[in-house]
Amino acid sequence: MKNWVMIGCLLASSSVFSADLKAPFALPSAKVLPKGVRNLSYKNIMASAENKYGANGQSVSLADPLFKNITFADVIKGKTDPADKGAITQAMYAIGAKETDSFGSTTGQVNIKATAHVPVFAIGVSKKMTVAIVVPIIESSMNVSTGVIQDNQAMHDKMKAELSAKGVDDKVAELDYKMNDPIPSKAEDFGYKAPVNENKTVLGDVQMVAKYMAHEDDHNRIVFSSNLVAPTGKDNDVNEMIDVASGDSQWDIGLGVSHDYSLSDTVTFSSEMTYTVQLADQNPERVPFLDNSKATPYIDFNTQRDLGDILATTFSTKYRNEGWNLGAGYSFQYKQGDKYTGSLYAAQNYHYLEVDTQQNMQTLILTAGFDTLSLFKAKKFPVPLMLTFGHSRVLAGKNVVNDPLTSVDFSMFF
Amino acid sequence: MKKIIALLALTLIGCGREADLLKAQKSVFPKSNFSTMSAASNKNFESDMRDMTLLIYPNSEDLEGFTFSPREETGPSWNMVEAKLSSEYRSHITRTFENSDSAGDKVSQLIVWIQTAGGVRDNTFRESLSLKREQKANQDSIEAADNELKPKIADVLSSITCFYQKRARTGQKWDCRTVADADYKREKKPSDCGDLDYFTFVFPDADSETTFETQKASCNSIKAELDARTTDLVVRNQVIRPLIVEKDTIRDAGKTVVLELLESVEKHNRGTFVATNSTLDKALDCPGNATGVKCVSFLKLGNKNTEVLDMAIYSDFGIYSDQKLPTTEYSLKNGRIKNLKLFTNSWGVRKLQFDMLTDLFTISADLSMTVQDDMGLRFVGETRVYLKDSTIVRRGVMKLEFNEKK
Repeated sequence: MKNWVMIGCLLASSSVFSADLKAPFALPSAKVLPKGVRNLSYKNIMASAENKYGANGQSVSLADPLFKNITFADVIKGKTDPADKGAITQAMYAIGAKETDSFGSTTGQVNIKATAHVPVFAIGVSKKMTVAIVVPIIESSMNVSTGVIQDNQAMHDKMKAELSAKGVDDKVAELDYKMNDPIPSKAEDFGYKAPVNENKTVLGDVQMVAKYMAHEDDHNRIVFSSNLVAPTGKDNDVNEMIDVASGDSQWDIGLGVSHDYSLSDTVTFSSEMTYTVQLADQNPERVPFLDNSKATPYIDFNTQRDLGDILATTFSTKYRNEGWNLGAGYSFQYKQGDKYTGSLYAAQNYHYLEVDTQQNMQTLILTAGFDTLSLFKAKKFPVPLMLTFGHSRVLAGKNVVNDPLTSVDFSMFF
Repeated sequence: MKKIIALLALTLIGCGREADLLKAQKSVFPKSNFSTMSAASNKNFESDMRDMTLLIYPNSEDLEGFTFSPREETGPSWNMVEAKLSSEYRSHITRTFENSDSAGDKVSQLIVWIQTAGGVRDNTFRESLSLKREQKANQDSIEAADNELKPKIADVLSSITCFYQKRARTGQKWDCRTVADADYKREKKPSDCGDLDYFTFVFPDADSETTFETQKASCNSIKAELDARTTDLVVRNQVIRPLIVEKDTIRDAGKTVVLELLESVEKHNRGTFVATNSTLDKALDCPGNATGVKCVSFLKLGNKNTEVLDMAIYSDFGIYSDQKLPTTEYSLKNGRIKNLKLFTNSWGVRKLQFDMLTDLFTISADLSMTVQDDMGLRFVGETRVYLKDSTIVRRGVMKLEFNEKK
């Protein structure tokens, strides 16, 4: 119920996908609802995506792939038609330049803020069994800006002079146009939509959850849980270079076990372990032709995809006294690498999609809340309510967004 | 309960957030300006094409298994082209295409050679043109000096007559009289000032001698001026003449390189990649049986070169391909050139676009129009070649060149 914040940001060579690990925002709990009791809650999770941990665990800007040197080698490698490669190579020889010579560098900024509105309805169907349905609605705002710092005017001028001498003025103009803002220009070449600022509100992946109380005594509770994630959200648009996804377009099945140990009436230690199987599916994918860039004109609408399974474990403690509660937890998550195959392009090209898809994430979760359960039981408050604030910080990780997220959870029982 | 729902609604409404607007760093050099329109509007160009290039590039599929190395007899042409390149440039390119190279790499390598040879052809044309202009300017100066000074020399020489009795022996001076008599009655006119040194006069009086010496001095002076104004130019033109031949030979070598490559591709693939076009450089016989009658491709522009009045291209396609096309007229009149547009695009570049319909394929040309002092009027750009009854699309290059009318 907590790994639903889908902030997928498909940058030119980013590895942040909708099926990525997301920071948990709630602490585990081995509790089920009493039979016949219903719970309607609304969770509001505010997240941003500006930075991530790279493949070596270093923190980098999500816009990092937008900062690239524009060398002749890059320009040549970025061409899919060998005729274009030949033409640029010849021009490079003609002006006496080398592959390492640079026209400048691209720049860019990406700022994504997402707010997930998550109504959850749960009901205790028996003394030991609770089922719930989670319907996330993702409201996102993405602003993107790209630019260029041109460098080496002498080489620019030589290149233009060479093209002018050949009598191809439109190539001179094309050079001006492409070097004026290379990222949207490349996007256009490859058939992507131009990256634009975008606000949208879309349905996320709906989850159905079942929890079963397997054991309960004075100090311990053990709950087994299972969940099914339906692909009701929207995966990254294959025609967008940068997109905020609300789902990953495939089914997930999760199993988990939670344990609460009540040290006293006020202090509880909890732990949880879950394993989520992301079922293989067929999905439209842009198939890269370079190992260092996911920007590509090639689309295989029938790419066979098997997103990596996710193992997560969380340890937490919660202090609760007269309706007030404070909690802290540590979560470790690991996601296997994704697998891609297809028949339209060379196998190696599909493997480029797998680069940097293995992930891990360590998160610190802090919560504070107030509930009226005691007051309600004492008939001092008419309705049993619960309000919890949460804040999660990613401590370390690999190939995951590392911005903190903040949540508000409002629940009522009836 | 209503209060709770209201609180929930308030929470829902209050939490949507917008990302901050961003402005990425940007620093760019000034863009190019194109002045083809104004440059063309003041000039007149010949409508007959000086030269035309129409090449079809092979795709990767066309070059699977393709190998190439130049024939021994074309080696000098390859050497000539390479000699025009810097050593750094030469170190990057290789004449041989190995089977182990990927087909894509072979396409790139072939394009590098085609464009290299095209560049060499353009550069040597410019050099040749520059030499021809210098040669013409020298010749004009020589002719101007000749026209100005040679009549003066002729005037001086015409007033001098050697009346002699016997012809002088070779190397000996002529025994002359200024006035004919019974013995000295045969006439010899000096043909240049130098002849005067070989005339020995017996003057009837001192005035006659003075007049002769004055005329001789005048003649030598004018001759010296003529030599001063022409000798270096004559020598320079003697130097230029073989240089022009050399440049033209290199230019032809560039063509040889390109043709050998594409003809080899035709031999390998049996497709059509080479066209021969009828131009002032090389005029072909008109289509049909009218042997000996030449038809030169042309483009007639009007309204200060802003519109196309008429156009015809005479080309044949294929040398080793399975399907060759004989010399055919592709013109606006016979409908084999269609969809022709001459316009300025959004970047300010003058463009000429048209489709050329052959029996094997349709060539869609997208050319830039430029006017340069040395190269004259040119339309250069890419083509897409759509094979009939096939999904194959090849790329190519087309260049139409015209001299400025002087």
